[in-house]
Amino acid sequence: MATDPRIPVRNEIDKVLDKFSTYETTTLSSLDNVEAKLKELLELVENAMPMDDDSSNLDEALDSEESEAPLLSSEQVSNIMATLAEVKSVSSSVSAKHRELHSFVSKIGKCIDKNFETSYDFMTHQTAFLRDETRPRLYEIICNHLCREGLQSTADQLMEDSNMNINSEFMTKFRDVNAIVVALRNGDLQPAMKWALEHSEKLKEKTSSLEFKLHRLAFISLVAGGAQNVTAAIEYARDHFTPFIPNHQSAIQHVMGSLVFMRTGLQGTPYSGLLQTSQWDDLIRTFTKDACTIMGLSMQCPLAVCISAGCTALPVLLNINQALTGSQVHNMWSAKEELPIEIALGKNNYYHSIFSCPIMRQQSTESNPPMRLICGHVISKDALTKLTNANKVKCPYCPVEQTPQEPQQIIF
Amino acid sequence: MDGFVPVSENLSMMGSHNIFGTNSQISENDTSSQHTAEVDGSSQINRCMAALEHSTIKVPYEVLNRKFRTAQKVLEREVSAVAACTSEMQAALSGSPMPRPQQLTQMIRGVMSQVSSLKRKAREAVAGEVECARAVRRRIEHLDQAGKGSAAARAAWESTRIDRLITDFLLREGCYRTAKKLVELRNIKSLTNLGLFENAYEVEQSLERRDVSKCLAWCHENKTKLKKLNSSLEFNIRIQEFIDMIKRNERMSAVWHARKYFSAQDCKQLPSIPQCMALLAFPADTKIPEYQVLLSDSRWQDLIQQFRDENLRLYHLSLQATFTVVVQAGLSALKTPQCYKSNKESFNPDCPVCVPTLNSLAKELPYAHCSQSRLVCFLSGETMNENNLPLMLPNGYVYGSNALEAQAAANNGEVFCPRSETKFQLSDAQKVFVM
Repeated sequence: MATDPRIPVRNEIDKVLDKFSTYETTTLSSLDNVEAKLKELLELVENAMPMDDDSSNLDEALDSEESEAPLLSSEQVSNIMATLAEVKSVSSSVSAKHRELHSFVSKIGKCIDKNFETSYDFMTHQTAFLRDETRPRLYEIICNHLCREGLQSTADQLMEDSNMNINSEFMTKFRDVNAIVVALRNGDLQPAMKWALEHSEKLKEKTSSLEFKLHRLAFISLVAGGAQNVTAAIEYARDHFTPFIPNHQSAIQHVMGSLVFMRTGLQGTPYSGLLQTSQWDDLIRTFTKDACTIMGLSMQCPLAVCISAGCTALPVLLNINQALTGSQVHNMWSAKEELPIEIALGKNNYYHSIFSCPIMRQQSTESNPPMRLICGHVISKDALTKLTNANKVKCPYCPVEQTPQEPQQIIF
Repeated sequence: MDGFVPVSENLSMMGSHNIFGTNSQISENDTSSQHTAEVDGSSQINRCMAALEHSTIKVPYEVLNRKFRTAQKVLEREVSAVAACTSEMQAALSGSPMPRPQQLTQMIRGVMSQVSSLKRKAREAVAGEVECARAVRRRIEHLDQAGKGSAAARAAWESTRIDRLITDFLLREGCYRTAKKLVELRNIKSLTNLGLFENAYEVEQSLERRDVSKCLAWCHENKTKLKKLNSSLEFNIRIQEFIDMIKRNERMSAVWHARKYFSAQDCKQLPSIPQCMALLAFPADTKIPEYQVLLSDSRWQDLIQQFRDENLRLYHLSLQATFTVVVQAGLSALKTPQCYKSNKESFNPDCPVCVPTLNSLAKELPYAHCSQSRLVCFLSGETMNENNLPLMLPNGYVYGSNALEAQAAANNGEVFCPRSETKFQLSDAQKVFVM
């Protein structure tokens, strides 16, 4: 089981914080100490000064050849010197002890380098993945991602910063969709209705319930508005619900029942659920889904899916990188070959069928498609060729024999 | 304005989407026990951390390291100041005549103020260093949140990871303003290295304007480290200045410039010097290719790129953004031959590799490795297995029995193959056995 790389690093940091805290308290207290001593010294010297502090007199007095008795005794002088020596040693220990802390600080760095992967050398290729011709595409992907996340202004900034002509087709499409979603969030159904009308044909093809949901929500808004809307509500229902009766009969019946409570309000009735914001959230989700489908876009952001897959794949690849010898690693990252190891991404990320021939142990490709033998078993074309002997093929799983022309190419 | 619902937040809860608008449920693999799943889960997270988050933690560490070194220098300066005035006083006391009281008090006060300055600086230094260490810790604390909490919390953490990866990429590419916007909108300032690149951005901008002063200042500021890295950046700037002087026909200035800056270089740089000096002999519009190359404007872009690389190396960052590495790994893990069929009939809008831009990027990458067949019904996205038998229509296209039977039930036994746009009878479908 892989060890948690965060733990040792955290420990080193805590150690350092601890050391700094100790350093601070001892240093400051020792400096406080010498400051106090110096203050004492100051007082001592000031007390030893003559009462008359008229400087001119003092100068006269001192200029005279007849000097007075020394202000300070030799004992006092040696005390001063001792204090000064202490000041020196304490202050130099401040910087010396600080220097000692460096080994603890640099331990953090070493710990990080030891526990976290520092390079991705195995991924280098003759032609760099990120180069002038691929750069615009990567930027486009990021732009589209930002759009989907509702960060339109950031996407625009990227277009500006990059000085590149990024294909903005996706962004224009998304801008319209985005505007409609913003309107829905503000309780405005009109843009969505307009969109639904424009794409009515396609929505019907996909048996979408979007149009019905829109009308239902409009109806409910009228009902919730109070008894004065009763005529408007009934008219609205009559005008708009009819085409949906075949597919949404029970839902229509349910929502029509809410008319009964128009005067008293829907709270506390079986219809109170119709008022909740979750209805709007559901509508937004339905709209998003249908809009994406009709525009041929994916529901999830492709970049997010890709990064998520990459975060799963990378540790596996790094792991195997350590296990493989030099020459094999170099071949790992060249086109037309497969990765050396399977990476389990989870069922949600299986977007295509993969047929792996049990005999040749290879993935099927356009040139080597899967073939269904007349008994129903499937092998690859290459396997079929290999198993053909004197214009006869024997199925590897059952005793059925056939000619090499009989198996049919299948597409999963 | 926040408009679009970030669909990625539903990543974990959504089944696969099919073209007929209905969601199908994909059952979890329930053969593994709960315990194994948990152990595997945390092991997976640990590996992920180790693989991806080096620079996340290393950068604030480097900031701490720098802060330490500057603090050490400051403290040493203060200490020698204290030592100096202390020594002065000691010398005065041991010499003759004995200093006057006023001088003594003056000296004592001098020492006191130096000591107090040392105290203040020590306090400031430690505060700064502790703050840096705390910043490193905060990053680890953020990483600790991975895989914890509710599904929504985990999805949010992963979404932040994408933002961090993109921000790092944008900063390295010089798209500073975009990165800044993203960081502000997503509120991830403490998780990204915006500050580090802010200075770099200013230098890059000045180089774009052909102004070398900021870059030279940067070189000077980081002299020791650049020397350790054997950096040729400053030298290349001097060369560029020389070339620009020639372009402006200021050849005498160019010669003086060369005399001033070129003689001090070590042997490694010498080969390019003769070539540049030879440039003096040629007009600025020369047609000779070797010298055209020297005179071209693209050298400025090279300088910018070199500056970028040196900046990264200064902070011990890898030259490749984690973003590009992760994207490559992801594309490769998702890449199947079906994404590259010539007739594009297996196009799945949900498959990232099928998306045209990513499709062209992934062309040069290896395919995913698959040891066992796994079949997905094109109509419903459901796995085809013993619960959803694969059936072959007379034209060779295979679909899951669940989807076909549902169609047949609603259409009098008739089924529709969307890839060939033909109708068939369900009764004409044959079983397919995949081992």
